[in-house]
Amino acid sequence: MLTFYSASTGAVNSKKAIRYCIETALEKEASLNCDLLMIYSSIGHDFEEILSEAHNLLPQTIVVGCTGAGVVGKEGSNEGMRSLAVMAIKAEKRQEFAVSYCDNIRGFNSYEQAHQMAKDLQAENDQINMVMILASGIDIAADQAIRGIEDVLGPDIPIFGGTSSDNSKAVSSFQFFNQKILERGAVLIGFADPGLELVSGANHGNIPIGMPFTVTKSEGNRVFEIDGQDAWPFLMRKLDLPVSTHPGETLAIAGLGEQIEDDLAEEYGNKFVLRIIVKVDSERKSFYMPVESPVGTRLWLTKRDEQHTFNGLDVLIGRIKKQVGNRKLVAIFHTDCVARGRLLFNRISKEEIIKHMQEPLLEGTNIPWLGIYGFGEFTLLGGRNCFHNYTTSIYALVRS
Amino acid sequence: MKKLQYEELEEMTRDLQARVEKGITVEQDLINTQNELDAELNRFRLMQKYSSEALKAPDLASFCELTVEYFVEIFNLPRALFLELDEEAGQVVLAQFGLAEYEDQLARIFDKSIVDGNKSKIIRKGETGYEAILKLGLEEAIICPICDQEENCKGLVLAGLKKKEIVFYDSIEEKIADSFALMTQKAGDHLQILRVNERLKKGIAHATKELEEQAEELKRSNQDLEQFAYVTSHDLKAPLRNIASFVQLLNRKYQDQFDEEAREYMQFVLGGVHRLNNLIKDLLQYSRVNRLDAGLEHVDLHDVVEVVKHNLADMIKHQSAEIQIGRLPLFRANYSQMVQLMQNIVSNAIKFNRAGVAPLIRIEGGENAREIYFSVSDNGIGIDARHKEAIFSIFQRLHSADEYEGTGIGLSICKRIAERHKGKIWFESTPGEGSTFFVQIPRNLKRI
Repeated sequence: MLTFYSASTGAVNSKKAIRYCIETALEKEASLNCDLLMIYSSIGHDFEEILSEAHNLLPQTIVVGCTGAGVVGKEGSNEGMRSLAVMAIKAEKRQEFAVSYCDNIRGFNSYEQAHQMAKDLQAENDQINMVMILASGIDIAADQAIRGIEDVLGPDIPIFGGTSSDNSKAVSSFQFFNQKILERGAVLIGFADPGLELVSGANHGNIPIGMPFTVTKSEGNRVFEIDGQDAWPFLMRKLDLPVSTHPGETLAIAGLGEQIEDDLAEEYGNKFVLRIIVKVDSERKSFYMPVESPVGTRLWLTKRDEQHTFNGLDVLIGRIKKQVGNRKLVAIFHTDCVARGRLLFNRISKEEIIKHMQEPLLEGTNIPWLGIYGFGEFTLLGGRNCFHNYTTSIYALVRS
Repeated sequence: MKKLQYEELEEMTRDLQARVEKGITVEQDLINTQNELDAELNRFRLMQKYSSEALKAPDLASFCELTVEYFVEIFNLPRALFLELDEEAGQVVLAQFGLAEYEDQLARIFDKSIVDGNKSKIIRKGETGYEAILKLGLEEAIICPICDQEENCKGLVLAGLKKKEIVFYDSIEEKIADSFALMTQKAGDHLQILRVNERLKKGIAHATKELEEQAEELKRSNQDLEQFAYVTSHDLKAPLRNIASFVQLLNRKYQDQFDEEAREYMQFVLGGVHRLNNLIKDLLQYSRVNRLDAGLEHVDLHDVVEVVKHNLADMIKHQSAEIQIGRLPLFRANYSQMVQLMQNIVSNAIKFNRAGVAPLIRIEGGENAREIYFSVSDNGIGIDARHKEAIFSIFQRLHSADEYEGTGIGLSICKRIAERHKGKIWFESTPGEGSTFFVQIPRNLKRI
């Protein structure tokens, strides 16, 4: 049986921060140890120091993690340059989880790399019943990665997690595996605790505006042309921004909507799934989507709608609570899009969003919570694995 | 007509689309402005938190570490330095964050070119001070001096970032200059408070150390004195016994051959030997009170008084003294020392009697929740109140040996015994009417 413990801090000294998180998470335990340590860190920390201190404190523990624009713990959210959160996991039997990683996942090889990582997980344990993924947020083609995992572990394997980010600059982000700091890597964590089940959901509050435009030339997740014009200049004109604008500067306003099937819209609370752009080519002509964008894909500009955001969140949390039912909530993982932090919301609204999630779910209890502001979210939709942007995604681990 | 309506509609749609799209960036500008305000408020909130934590810092090192960490957090800059200018020591690095690799350079950073009066100053490439911050590997820095009331520079705080860090961190903006100066002032004020506290603590520690040394010296001196008294009296005892024996032998054997004068001399010698023997005996007792491990047992003060009466039977009979005994407590004490204490007080009560008045002595006592007490009253000559302290000092005699025999050690032995039992002894007296000696000892002593 897996047991979860969490803590977070805004302490700027990296060594002190990781020590505080580990000691606080495990403070009620007889000894300072765990089998798996998941670390979310914002981009300003000294990662080498964090991993080295984690190893000093927990020499036998497997360490995984990634960077984000901020972290969320049961203590609240923190988007400082040096925020840190951990989830410590203890396993009754070492076989209750497996981990694998790769150090170079890109748009063109996302399927192959994910496929190999899934095979590595399967080789370690063929009883894995859910997979958590932490992957590079700038380079990955997320839908390909999902297919790579499903082709090994089956289409019904629930995949949840997120992609790493920096502080919304869209320059580079990092992933951690034991003492390794990866820049284009991915980590899979397979859980094989038969009593553990996943209840999850995602929601965003954007609404489409104006008329759609159409992808007229693309290759995989790279979009060359929209409505017959160079894709990036076209989009920048629409947003009244110069072509030289870095994608990081457009994160808050360049969320592109893509229509989803009607039968999924109700569960999603929205007729559109959103896509984030974090990479453009060096000539500033084409851009990269986190999923494939075949010719004919219709895209909408979208804008956030505060009422939609809060209402959608309440519906999402209500549905998760209903699905949890009488089962025991043992831990909550959470991925929020970078744009749902200070990029799109002022501090009061952002704290309100976190409160809208945590108060009804935690109900004053001390259930471990580990969240991150990343570039994208892996969350089931309509029972199928799916990649999202600009959402709040909640993954509640429950036990009957 | 129909075509015109369609074109109009298309034109209107395009216009609406443009307005809507323009609206996205306008809304974003609003959010950015709100966030800037949030960031400013957050800086002030963190400054408040810093002030509160700085006051609780246990020592200077913790305070300085806390200070640079707060500068990093508040101003979102990855590196910081807290430097003090000391008249004697020069530039003293109080703390640094992220600058450990430039340790050799840190204490050389201060230069009048890098500070601007008492204001904060941002240094970038091409500006005065750039060469100095480059020595710390920094591409940009904000520096603010810590000034005293006369505007003398007493230190500085510097925060900055390396060139490669400008990828993730924003370039230092002018808008943080005022809050940086405010935060520096706070750090300076706290540093001053800590320095004053430190000086006070040092003063107290120094005084305490001196007192402890003096107490230790006194203790050592007392121990030496006791040791001296013990060794002297112990070593004197054997030869004195020889002298006494041979003088008595000489007196017995040759008494008949002595003339009157020689017999008188012999009496002087015998009296001297007797007094010297008493003195040595008392000195030994005095030094033994603290030297020996004294076990505790349940002592019934009635038994103690009975033993004392037995020991002083000749004296009591000779002086026709009457001893009245009231209620007396039962308590934990060292039995032998209690007999010694009681005997010394009672013998004094008999000895210092008024001419023609038979000594009447009353011994009584009691107890409360915390201690036991007893008193010995007499109808003797009494003691002047000005001898309140002196009477318990060793060798302190209020009367000559010719008037009242004694060594002047008895009451100091009593005081030692009472204090060794964590108690006290004192007296009340009316000269010419009598005295009462009081002894108080804690109940349930575990050890002495």
